[in-house]
Amino acid sequence: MSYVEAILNGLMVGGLYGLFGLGLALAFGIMRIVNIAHGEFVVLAAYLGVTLLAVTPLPLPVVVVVVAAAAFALGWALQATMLNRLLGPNPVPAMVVTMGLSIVLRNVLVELYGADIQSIDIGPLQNMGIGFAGLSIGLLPILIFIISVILFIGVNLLLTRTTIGRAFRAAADDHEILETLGFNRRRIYNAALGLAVALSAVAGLLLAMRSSFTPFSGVERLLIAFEVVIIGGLGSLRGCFLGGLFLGVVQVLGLKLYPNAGPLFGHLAFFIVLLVRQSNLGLFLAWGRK
Amino acid sequence: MSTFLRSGLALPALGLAVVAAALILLPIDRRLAMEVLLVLAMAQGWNLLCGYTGLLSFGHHAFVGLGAYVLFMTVNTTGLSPAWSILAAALVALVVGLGMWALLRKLRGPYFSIGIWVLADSLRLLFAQWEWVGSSRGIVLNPMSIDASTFADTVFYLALGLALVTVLGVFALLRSRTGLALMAIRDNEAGAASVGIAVARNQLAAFLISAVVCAAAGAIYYLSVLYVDPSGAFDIDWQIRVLFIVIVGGLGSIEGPIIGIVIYFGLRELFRDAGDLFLIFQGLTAFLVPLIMPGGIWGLIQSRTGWQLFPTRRIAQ
Repeated sequence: MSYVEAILNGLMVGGLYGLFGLGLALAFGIMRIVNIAHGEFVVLAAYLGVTLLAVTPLPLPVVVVVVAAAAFALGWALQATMLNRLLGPNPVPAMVVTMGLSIVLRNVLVELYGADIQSIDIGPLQNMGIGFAGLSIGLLPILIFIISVILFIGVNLLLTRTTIGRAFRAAADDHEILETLGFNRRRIYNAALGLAVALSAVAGLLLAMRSSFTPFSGVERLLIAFEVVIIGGLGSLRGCFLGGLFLGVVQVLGLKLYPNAGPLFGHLAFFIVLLVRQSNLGLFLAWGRK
Repeated sequence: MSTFLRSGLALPALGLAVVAAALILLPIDRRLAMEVLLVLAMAQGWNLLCGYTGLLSFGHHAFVGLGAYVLFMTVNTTGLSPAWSILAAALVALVVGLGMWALLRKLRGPYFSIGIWVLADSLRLLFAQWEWVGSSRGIVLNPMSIDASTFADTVFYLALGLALVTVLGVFALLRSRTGLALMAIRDNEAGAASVGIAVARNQLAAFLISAVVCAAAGAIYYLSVLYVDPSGAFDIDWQIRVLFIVIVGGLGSIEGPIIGIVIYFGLRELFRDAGDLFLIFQGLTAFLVPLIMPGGIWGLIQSRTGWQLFPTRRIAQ
């Protein structure tokens, strides 16, 4: 694999990383909640996909939609039953609750599926590729990249063109004004976490088609999502997308150089960005300001 | 003597002396006791940071692993005795802690929590790649450096010493001027800053103390098993354990982690044969406690009775 191919592959996987970050950023931006179980939801989606493909005759695109719907319901239920009770200026209780949830999910997955490495077999598409100017790129990564771009555009349209999207943004800015306009703040939050989890679930399922996973992959996915958010900036969709692409390229190139180093290069890039941004981080983290 | 009694220090002093004497004299499982004492020290250190300064760290397993590795490398390369090498572990944790603070100092709230988690994960990956420290195979302690006949007792007394120093040290700190500042930050960070408390400086002090305590505890624990590898020493499970203990017992008090530790090890012995079930139960408890009992068990007891075993509150006469 040449370096150009590595960079292209990094860009393709980076679209998914961007979606991971987007899920985390939506939840934090709108209800100031950091969902520590974010990574476990991503992995849960992959396991749900594996199971649906194995036991039902549903075709892959339908499975993706079913997983997204289930993830939306899960996010809604989590916010409605648990997290809405922990709203407020102190972020610690919600983080502890979702940390506990992540431990439960991780170990339930180990109980159900074992700790072995899993992957999703999607048939002949897996090995198809296209040659271009001496480079060969898999068809699947390209398809996945296109889907992630479409999802980003969709979220952008949702946030700018629809009532619920405007309500999300209003909730992020000032939830009291939102309520004076007649919106039910809690329902908006439920929908927001549903959307956040659904986006990450789709990304997790797509990633599972490209690379293997175990019940313990959640931590890695959470840290990726977090790094994307910090690198790209919390308040902007474009930032999330570009942050994801950057992290994807760094990781794939790093793995090409040191195959055993895992996500170490992503972490290092994250800290370099952090150091560079130290001086005006407060400005950079402010939601909604470009 | 009567001022000593009225100061409220007699009860904790007596309690700790009784517990220490019981641990030394009774025919208990010293291996388990050692682990309990080390995790207690970690929990007290972590609680000083998270319970008092509001910086919720998800990455203190970084210091556990770091302390263990520094001890092993010091003993194996310099021939210094394991007990003295704990000081090297503490010193390195102090320096690395300062470096981490430089990276994380502008991160607050969730950003701090996950930022330090990323740092801990980076250390795990780094040590797994680093040939000098045995990469992913880990390293074995030089067997010539220990005396097998007294080794079990040595690590037990080291653990007991660390736990006592930590509990008493945290207690003394909280009764000092700095402690007053820390408790003010716990209760209202903006309010504390507005009356002239240097919030960042106090947070740094608490961070460094917690780092040193966790490193020393990690060093003693891995000394007792004579072997360290990156996936075990930098395991997030260390952090989860401490989080569970402090949250269930009660954040922001000395009594809370002590109650939490009794519950944690009690449950662990109870679930000993149940494997992953214990982990699921542990997660479920951490999940439910903030929802139904926000102050943990000690918070509940204290709000009902007003008791304080380790008096750190200032009450107007």
